Amino acid sequence: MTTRWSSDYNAIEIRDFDAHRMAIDYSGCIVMLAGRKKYGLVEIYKSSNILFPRTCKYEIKALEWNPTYHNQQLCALSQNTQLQLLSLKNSVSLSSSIRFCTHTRAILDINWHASDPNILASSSMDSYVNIWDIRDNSRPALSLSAIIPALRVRWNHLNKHLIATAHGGEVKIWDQRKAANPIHYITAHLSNIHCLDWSYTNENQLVTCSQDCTVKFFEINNRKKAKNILNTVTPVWSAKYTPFGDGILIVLVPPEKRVDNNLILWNLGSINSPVHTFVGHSDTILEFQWMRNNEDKTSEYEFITWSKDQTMRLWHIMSFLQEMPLDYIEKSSEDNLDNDQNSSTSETSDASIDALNETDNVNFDNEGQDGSFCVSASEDSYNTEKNEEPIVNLYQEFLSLNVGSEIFIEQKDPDRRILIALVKVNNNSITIHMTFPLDYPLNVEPQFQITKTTYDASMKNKIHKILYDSAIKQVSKNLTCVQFCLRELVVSLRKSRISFSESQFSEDDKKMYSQSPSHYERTSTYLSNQDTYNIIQHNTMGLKFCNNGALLWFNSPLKRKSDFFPSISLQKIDSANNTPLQKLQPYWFSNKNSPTDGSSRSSKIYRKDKPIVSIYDVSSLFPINKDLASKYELDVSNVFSTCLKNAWITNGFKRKDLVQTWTLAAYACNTKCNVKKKVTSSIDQINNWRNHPFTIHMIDSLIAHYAGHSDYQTAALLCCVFNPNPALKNIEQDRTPTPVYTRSNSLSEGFTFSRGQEESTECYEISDQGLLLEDSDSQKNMYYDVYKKIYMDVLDNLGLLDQQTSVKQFLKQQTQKNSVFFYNFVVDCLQCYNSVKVGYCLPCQKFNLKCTLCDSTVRGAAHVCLKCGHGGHANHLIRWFSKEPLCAVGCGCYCSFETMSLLYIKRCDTKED
Amino acid sequence: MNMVPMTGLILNEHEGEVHDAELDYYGQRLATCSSDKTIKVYSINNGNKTLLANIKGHHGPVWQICWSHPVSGHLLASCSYDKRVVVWKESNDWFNIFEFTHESSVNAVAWAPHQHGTILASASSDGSIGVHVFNKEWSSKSFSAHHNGCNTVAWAPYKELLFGSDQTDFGKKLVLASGGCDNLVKIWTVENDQWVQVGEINCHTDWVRHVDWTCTIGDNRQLIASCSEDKTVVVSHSDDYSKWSSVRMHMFEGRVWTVSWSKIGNVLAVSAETNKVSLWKEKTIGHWVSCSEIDDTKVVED
Repeated sequence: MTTRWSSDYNAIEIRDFDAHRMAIDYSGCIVMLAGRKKYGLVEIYKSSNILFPRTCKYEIKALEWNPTYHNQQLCALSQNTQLQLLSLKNSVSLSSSIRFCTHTRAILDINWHASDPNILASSSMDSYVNIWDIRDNSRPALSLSAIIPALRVRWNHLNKHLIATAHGGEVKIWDQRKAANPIHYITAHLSNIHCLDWSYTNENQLVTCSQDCTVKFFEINNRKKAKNILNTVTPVWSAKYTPFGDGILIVLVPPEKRVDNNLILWNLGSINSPVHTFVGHSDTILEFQWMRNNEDKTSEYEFITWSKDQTMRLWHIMSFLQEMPLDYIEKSSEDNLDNDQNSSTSETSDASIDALNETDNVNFDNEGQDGSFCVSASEDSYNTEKNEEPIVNLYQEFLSLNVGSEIFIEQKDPDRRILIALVKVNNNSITIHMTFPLDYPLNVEPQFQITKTTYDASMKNKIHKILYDSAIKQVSKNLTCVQFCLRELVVSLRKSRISFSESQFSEDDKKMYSQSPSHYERTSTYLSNQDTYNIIQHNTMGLKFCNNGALLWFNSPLKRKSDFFPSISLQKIDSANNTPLQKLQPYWFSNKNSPTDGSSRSSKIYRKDKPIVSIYDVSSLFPINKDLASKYELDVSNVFSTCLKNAWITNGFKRKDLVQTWTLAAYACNTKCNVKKKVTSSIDQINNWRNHPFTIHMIDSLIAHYAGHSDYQTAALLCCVFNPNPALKNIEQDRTPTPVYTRSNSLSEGFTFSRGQEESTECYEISDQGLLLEDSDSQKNMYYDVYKKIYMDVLDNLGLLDQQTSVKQFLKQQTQKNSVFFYNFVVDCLQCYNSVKVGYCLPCQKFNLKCTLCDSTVRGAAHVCLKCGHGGHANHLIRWFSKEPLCAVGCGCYCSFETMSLLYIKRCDTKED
Repeated sequence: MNMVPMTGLILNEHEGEVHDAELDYYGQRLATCSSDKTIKVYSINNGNKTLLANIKGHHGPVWQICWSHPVSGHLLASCSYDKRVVVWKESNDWFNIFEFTHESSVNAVAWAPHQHGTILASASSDGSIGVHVFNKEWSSKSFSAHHNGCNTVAWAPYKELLFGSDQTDFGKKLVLASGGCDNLVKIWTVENDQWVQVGEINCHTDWVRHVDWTCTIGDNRQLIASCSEDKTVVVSHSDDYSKWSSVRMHMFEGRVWTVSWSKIGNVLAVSAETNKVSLWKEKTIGHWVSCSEIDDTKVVED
């Protein structure tokens, strides 16, 4: 358990010095302090201080002495965007030696390399972490880029290549040798990390501490979750490993007005309770640092702290704290306890409450009624924590209340057992009046009364319920509940802001909300609260194929050379086709790449921090060619000439392989043999090809070959040319209009081509003009349809819609299916019962479509019910059906409903296609 | 092998890192999303690009975007660290027409094949997958998929005909694959209005980052490529959706970030952490070879 005593043995007070940064040098004698108006040197053992005034309006954000013997005179400090090295001469004067000015925004943190005297890392708001070699100040030796600026940067104490950076709640581990990307990525905390430190004993271990009141220990090779978590009641300002043993020293961000006891030493072997609390400072501790008192090896470890109370304190860790096993410390602390108790003032007892509250599993032992109590420091306290209920009286609970910025305690009176709290969330406020029954918190919850609120009644009930539920939850375990309840309330109120409808907020609120610049901040705090444990590090580069065959590459480059062009090596995917290899390049912007403006571009646009998106035209990788697609002919009335034309087209694109294919195809279906007369001897042969039993197989295998090599273009076209739809062919030959027929008063069932029996005759008919693949093999037909569909998809992507439609005509399946949607309304003449097309019967000289409402002839816009066939002038019908559901004739048909349902079903069918 | 220097780059105007970029269906518009909380839409006609829109509205980095098929009206779906999935529609300006809030950061969005209708899937770090259907109005359903976080989703391609299979409607089913922090790829389908797991690919040893699904033409194998933090890319194939056999395609030097199938030819594009991108092609079944490489590390002076 915790022991506390004041063990500093040297306190230096420096009045009227607003220093907020402190650094101690290699020797451990000289401390540099930096404030807004002054900075200066303090020699610890001589108590002499030399102060210099500062004129720069920027604060010194970071300050660090070089930790190596070799460069021990150097001190690095940063103000705004500038990194400056000061050199100490004769322990009295500082001379500015080097300035680094590459950062574009304020520098947030700096850190010297642990072993290399010339290496320094700095992180800045501009999101870069630069690593400098101080011998070359013109540019950083290395620049690490992250999305979010690094608040902290730390070199590994043992491994000279590793560096850790903290970005908000995340930690990135970088290896100098592979600086392009972090080698590890840890989503460590829910809110900002205040400090991180590497272990002195294991190069893979690091500790982080954060605003979210936790200290977490990580093993970088097993980075998915923290190895150990230390929970505290207040945010942790700083945490550093001890240079000895396996310990850690943390500084807590003090709760208001009680600031003296936030420096705590823990043993990592047992992080259930702190080993030691260092008491002395009367205000917030701003900085602490271990001293490297290397001259005196035998001495105990020391560290130095600088606090807002303008004193610097030197503490030493007594050897028993360093070396003794834990239980020994327990005992010794118990011995010390008496001292502590005797000398305890009310202030220190407050402090001990706080110290005890550090962890949830610390036990209280309430002795007596006067508010003073002691620590039960028995060894078995670890084991008994579950059996022993921590009962705290109201006085203690009120004292230890630690609420967020949204909650204001207006009144707390432990004697009258009341507490009044004001909660302000999102421009709404609520005042809660709590009264505590005597038995509280032993399974008795406090009474809540909401006295004043800007929320409406329903919200008020909700709030009451939240308070009541959370109180019950706590007191059922005999735990105190005030803090828990209030925090739960704030969390749920914040959430309601985001997820509930806006209606619950008044207009004024909305206005304020939309105008307030803090809106985004607020949301971002909200966001930072989410559990970021398992969120992957998102891609900063990627490569993906887009629909139209383009390859999209994006990258958010980390560090690039001034001129940077990724080069592409490429091998033809399908070597079976002898397509010439085309250059792989992005298909736009190429016009801007003329050599004349090349130089200006590289200097101007190629800023290293700009993400790139580039698009490669990888159509050369694939056998489908857009230009060919737009040129290919698909005239099946003369297959032979179509094939020849296509051969000619491919020749224009220097695709010799395809020229051969198409020529071969042309010969295969040649009927008249009027092509190349010069090879007279082989004319007969050519002539005979058509009738050769293998010709059909040849075309089949050609199609299979191209399909097998993903050349669906050629495959689909061959399919189309050699296996046209008999129906389509039929139509084109006969030049008959679409043979769809309906009767006037009944709905067409559509038209389906029956192919079964007629097929043979049609085949025969068509084969006069060319050669037909067998149509009987349905399996093969399905394949052919698939090729056509793929090709259609590609054409669709390429925007070649005409071509797509012409291929679509050849789909076998589609014809059957599509016929369902063929509607042709035909009106029967009322006299002669012949169907008329234009609504006018020539022989009878009569208009046939009569409006059912006005009984006059319809010449303009007409509307007809698909079910009953009644209809008339569109505007008449619109008026009728706006009031009536039934047909005007009285046939009992719900016209609008029936028509709609019919059409709707059809539309669903269309979708499937 | 031919080395071709790349001669042009598109520099993006985003303030932060670009996390995703996609061309629309006709390849005329490019959308990019970034850590700077915005989505930018460019027109890329006529050899140059013009910024059409800068869509603001997310409160956190935007992780992924996805264009829908034109039949749904060129919708743009985006997902962000702010836990939201948003569907944007253009009418003069871009408007947010649908929004869904997950419990945690949303890592991926994907539109289902358009034949199924307007359906969007989203994967979130809270471990759930949300399926959002537009049928006159939006309705959402979410189910828990990977207990400690879901990183990616991909839909099965729509196939009208699957030969050699007795079930004719097989390729028309709504099926999706998801990858998550439990190192698994899971296959889901709808049964009785509920999403149920029908298959599982368990061959990664670390978080699965990205999956992509394609279907070969001809022999109709379902192919799922998955990449993971364990530096491997695994290609799994199946004839139904339940039994998957996997082949480890390659072990890369760094974590593999994305995999993407080409629309035709089954070429797989892989990008890995070390700025390496490469294209892969199956030579014989189960045997993959790299057929091209875009090498970032080579620096060619201008």
